[in-house]
Amino acid sequence: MTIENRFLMFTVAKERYAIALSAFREVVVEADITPVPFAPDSILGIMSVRGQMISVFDLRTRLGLQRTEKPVETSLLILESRGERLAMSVDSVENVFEVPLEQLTAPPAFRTSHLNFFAEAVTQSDRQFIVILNSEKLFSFEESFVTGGKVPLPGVA
Amino acid sequence: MRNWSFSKKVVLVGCIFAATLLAVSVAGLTGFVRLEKSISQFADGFETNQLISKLESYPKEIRMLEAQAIIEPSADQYNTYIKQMNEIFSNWDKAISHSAEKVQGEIQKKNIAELQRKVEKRKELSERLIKAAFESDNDLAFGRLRDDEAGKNLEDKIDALSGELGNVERQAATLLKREAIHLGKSWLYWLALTTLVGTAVGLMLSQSILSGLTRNLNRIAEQFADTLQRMSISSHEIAAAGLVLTQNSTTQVTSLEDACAAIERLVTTVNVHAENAKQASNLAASGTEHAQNTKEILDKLTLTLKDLNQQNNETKLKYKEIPLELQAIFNIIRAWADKIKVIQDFSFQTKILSLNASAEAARAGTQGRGFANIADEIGHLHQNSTKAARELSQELDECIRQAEAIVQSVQMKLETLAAQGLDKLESGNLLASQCSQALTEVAGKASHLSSVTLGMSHAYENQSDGVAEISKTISKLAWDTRQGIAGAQECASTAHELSSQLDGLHSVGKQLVTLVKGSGLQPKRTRQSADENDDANTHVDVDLHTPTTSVEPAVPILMEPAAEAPSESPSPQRGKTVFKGRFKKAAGAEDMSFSNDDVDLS
Repeated sequence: MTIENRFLMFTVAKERYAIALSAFREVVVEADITPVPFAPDSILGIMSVRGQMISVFDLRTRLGLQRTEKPVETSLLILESRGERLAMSVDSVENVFEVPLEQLTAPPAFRTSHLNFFAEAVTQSDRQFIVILNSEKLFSFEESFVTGGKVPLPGVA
Repeated sequence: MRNWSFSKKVVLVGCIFAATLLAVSVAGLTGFVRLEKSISQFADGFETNQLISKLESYPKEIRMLEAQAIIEPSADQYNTYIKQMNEIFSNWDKAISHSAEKVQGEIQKKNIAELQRKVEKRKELSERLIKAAFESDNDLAFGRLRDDEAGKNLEDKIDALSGELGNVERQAATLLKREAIHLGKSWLYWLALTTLVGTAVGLMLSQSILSGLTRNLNRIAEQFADTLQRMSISSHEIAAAGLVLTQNSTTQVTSLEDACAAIERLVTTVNVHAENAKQASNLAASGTEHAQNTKEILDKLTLTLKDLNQQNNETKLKYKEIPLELQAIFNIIRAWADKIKVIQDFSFQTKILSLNASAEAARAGTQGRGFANIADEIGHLHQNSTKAARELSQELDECIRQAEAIVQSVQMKLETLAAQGLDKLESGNLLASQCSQALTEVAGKASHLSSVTLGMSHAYENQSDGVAEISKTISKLAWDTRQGIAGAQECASTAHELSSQLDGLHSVGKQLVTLVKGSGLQPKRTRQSADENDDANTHVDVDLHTPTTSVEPAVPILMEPAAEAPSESPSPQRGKTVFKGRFKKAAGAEDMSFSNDDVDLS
């Protein structure tokens, strides 16, 4: 049992997604999010976690879904990559699970979906697919807003 | 001639009168025409004679004038002579021209023209002669007067012509005379012819007029006789009807007496009815009393029902408290539910904690593996606790639902029970009130019935009086009817009298018919019919009196007219048949038209 084959599962719009446990820092349930002026719809704002300011984005919007005003049970997942932190809003956090790496399969072409850009692999559990998201890609995409860099959206001119 | 009918006599007289009138008128007319013609011819002839004499006189006058002029030729008279001469000549000329108008022959006209020329010449001669005479040339004048051949010839010629003219006129007169004689003869023939024709026409005309007149007269006479016969029959029928009436009236009297008896029985019945009505009235009054009593009892029942209703309402209020108590139990259960939510919150916190712990353990690498296991365990704990809390929550929900259902059902049942109780009470109330109302109505009706029966009993009393009155009236009516019978009998006898008188009148009518139609034609038949007429009269006498005897025993008042009647006579029906038979015979004996009318009677 290594950290590489452990994943944190969560749901967005009743669909199950997962992220590598190595990219996950912690779960925050209650937080004060300060909205940022002139920010895109997907950026909810910024928040303070133990004295550190991190930006919060909404995965639902990022995946091209309709943004809901009041999610059933919103949880913020703090992700960390190369010392940078980023908060991601999801509908609910489920649990941590283990999957052997050979059971992971390459994601199918989602065609015009934004998921095409973020999906890393697909696995199956309880006869349901779980899409494993690439945290690096999430970071690089969000950094473009935070840092001012320009990363064009695929399929969006 | 003496036995001729009236119409024929009248026709004869009319014929004679018409013929005479016609002859006289024709003769008068023709004579008048002839006279007028003669007068005009006479006038013509007279005028012609005068003219001729004038023509003959003018030459003499001229000669006389000439002679006078020669004898005394005074200068101052010259103009007078000339004037006289001119006058004579102009008159002469006029006369000639006048006769020229009358003359018709060609020769005569030529002669007249010549005469006119000669007269012109004569005038010239006369002028010359008078002139010579006044120039004192007497010789010449005398010579002229004496010797002038021309003058003499002229005179002669004038005379001849005038004579000829006169001859013409005389010839015309002769012709006229001959013509007149001829005309007179033809007139005689004409007169005879017109007299004959006129007589024939007059005869025909008067025949047609008088035959129409006599036909009407005959018809009137026949109708008169016929009507008399009918009247006779009718009077007999009246007599019979009077008898029948008498009989009927007698029957009526009996019926009326029966009616009197019936009415008396009716009076008794009415009295009984009145008594019954009184009893009914009493019964109705007692009915009213009973109804009142029952009503009072019902009122009490209504009051009791009201009390019951009140008690029911109180029970209902008490039932309503039960759900409140149940509500308290619910509150407790809800409190439990809240506690479970707290547990669920704890569980969530535990989950977050376990996840964070997992993350920390992963970060620690291989050293953190044990910690990761613990974190997993904590995650399991969370899952279990969540599951337990969910189950508990579900059970609690079920519990609440069931409790609510119980409460609802209890409430519903209570309400239904209360409503049913209320309904029943209300229906009871309603029934009681309806019963009370019905009883009130019954009481009212009973009292009304009482009053009605009272009125009825009064009415019955009145009726009894009325019936008594009727009884009296009917008795009077019976009396009146008896009087009526007497009247009817008198009527019958009068009708009989009338019929015998009518028979007499009938024979008079027959005589009239004979007079109008003439008896000479059928003398034998008339005598036969007369004989039969007598027979019939005797029959009538017998038949008329018979019905009265048949009525006699029924009504004693009829005795007086019955006394006249012979007792051996048969029934009224036979009397009628006898009448008919007589008329049939009479019809056979009478004239043709008479019998035609009599067929209807039989």
